[in-house]
Amino acid sequence: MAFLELHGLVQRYGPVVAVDGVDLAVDRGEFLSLLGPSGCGKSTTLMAIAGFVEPTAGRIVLGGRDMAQVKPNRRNIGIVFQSFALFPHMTVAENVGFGLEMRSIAKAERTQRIAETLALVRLTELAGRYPKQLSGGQQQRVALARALVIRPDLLLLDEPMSSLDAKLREEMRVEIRDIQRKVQITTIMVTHDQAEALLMADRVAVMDQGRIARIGKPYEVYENPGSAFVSDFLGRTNLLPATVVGRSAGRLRVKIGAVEIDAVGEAPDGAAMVSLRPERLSFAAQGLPGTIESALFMGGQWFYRVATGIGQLSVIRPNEGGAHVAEGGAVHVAWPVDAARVVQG
Amino acid sequence: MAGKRVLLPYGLSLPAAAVLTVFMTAPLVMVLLLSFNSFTMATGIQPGFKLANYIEVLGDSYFHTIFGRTFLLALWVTGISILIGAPEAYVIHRMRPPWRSIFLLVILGPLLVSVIVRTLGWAVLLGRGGMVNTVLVKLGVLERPMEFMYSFTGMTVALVHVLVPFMVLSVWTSLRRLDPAVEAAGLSLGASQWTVLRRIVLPQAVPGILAGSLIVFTLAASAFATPAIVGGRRLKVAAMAAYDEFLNSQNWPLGAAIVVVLLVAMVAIVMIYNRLVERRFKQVFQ
Ligand SMILES: Nc1ncnc2c1ncn2[C@@H]1O[C@H](COP(=O)(O)OP(=O)(O)O)[C@@H](O)[C@H]1O
Ligand SMILES: [Mg+2]
Repeated sequence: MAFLELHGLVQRYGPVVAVDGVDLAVDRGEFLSLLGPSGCGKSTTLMAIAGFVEPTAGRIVLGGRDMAQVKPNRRNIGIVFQSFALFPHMTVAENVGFGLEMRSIAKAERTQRIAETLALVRLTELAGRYPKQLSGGQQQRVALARALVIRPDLLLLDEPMSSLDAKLREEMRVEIRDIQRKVQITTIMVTHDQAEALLMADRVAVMDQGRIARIGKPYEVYENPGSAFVSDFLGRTNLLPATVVGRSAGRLRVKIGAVEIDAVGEAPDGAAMVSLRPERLSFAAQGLPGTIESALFMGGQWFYRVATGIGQLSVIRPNEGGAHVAEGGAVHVAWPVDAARVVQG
Repeated sequence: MAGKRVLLPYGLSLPAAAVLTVFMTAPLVMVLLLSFNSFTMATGIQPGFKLANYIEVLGDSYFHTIFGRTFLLALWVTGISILIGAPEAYVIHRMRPPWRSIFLLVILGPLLVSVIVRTLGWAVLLGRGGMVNTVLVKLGVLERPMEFMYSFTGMTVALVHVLVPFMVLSVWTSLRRLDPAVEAAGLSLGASQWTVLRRIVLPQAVPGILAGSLIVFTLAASAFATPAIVGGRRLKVAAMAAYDEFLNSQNWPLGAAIVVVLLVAMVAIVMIYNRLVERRFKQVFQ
């Protein structure tokens, strides 16, 4: 039995079905990311786990205990809100100490645990400051410390990085992940940023319109997305409408436009979609002929758009310092067989 | 070019400044000058620069009683308005969209009716044969009808009713700036709903409560119509005393002195209160 289990969770707001039957099992110490576009029901799922909304249907079981009758302030769940929701009239130390105070922990132990937790998030020097005197990253670390100091059974993060600028976001991703590993706390993080989810989580659950479309280890979900929606949402991809025309030796034969190629995956004969990840495409002496329409320099890599017989393809090649292929140049696009994956439309 | 830019704001505020000078500063200065004149029945107003009127206002126990009553009344009205208005504002804040605007309208509605009309309404309710007395007697709370009219209690009740919408509005405005997630954060940390209210919501509503108290206090201390109708002639407040000096005794200089003392005292109280609260709740005012 997993540490946290959701069974058929449904959440309706009047006519709106925000969460439409979510089943989920999270193991103790695991870091799971709920990933999906805005409005797909991620926050609602999180708020149901925290107890702030009462599920229309379904069960939430935490540590073997059904949560239906447990009030939010009795669930022992730490939450980092999107806005951080710090108490503006309290210092950093008072913010962090609030949860301990609510648990009637003695002053001496409180002081010690506040100090430990502030050290964990590297904020020791700022204990006496007020939230408004802190930068976004520091505020976020206070929010994290405040949630961790109560030693919750479960840590919930709702888009924790969305109000930080790009550079800080990248630093905080690694930092939060390291802290989570260190204290080994079961964590669910909601995000719409696929890079964040892939980098931080042990497992990723991709949500679409109130349901979990796919769940698995980041690498597996990325490589084998299952549906066009997931493959498009996770990273970039070239999605091409295709027809499955035959199969042999575990491979499918698909027809895209006038071109026939081999692909992997499972699908019945007939209409399907083929996903081709741009970073798995390369230019070779032989392959699908095409013309470079644009070549964009992105620092670490080149981003090409190539007109081919099966449509326009995005191709990403690492910048290896040498000459790149110029716009207008004729190329042949090639890929390993397992890069072409049949997904459901 | 740069010089013009600097002058532009001043130029643009000129019309407002002119209006303010003509209609506000000038009368105030004239009242101030008037308060230093002297007056006798025989000679009328005599120009001059004497402190006699101030000595009378500040030294006479008759005026002490009036000013004491005025500020006590304003204090009670402010306190009760906080106790009623702040929770009311929170309830409205927690309401869902259609109800919120409906109840805001219900609360603000009375502001659309003239103070005189509302106060006369209270006079009807509070009178010996009025509804309040009838209900209290029927319920057995009172043995016989009580005199609410022409009493300090009656004045307080009527003024609270007239002024509480200002408190609700200003507290509600400051609650609107509250991050809704802050309450959820408090709950998730193990606080009860009541603790969240007391330790997290209330401190953040302080700017609104402060602004509301300043409005209610100044309006209550300078109120004329409501105390005059409900309090009557025996329970004079400062504004009524000034009115009497101006229109009954014809002693304009003394009336002017009362007005100046009221104004100075009010400004002083407001500033001290403001300073104290802001210092105590420094963080929520930024
Ligand atoms: N309190 C609410 N009342 C009505 N509709 C809501 C409420 N909260 C969320 N919704 C709706 O539920 C859907 C899912 O919202 P949410 O869980 O916040 O999505 P996400 O966090 O994935 O962006 C949205 O369509 C949203 O408009
Ligand atoms: Mg959300």
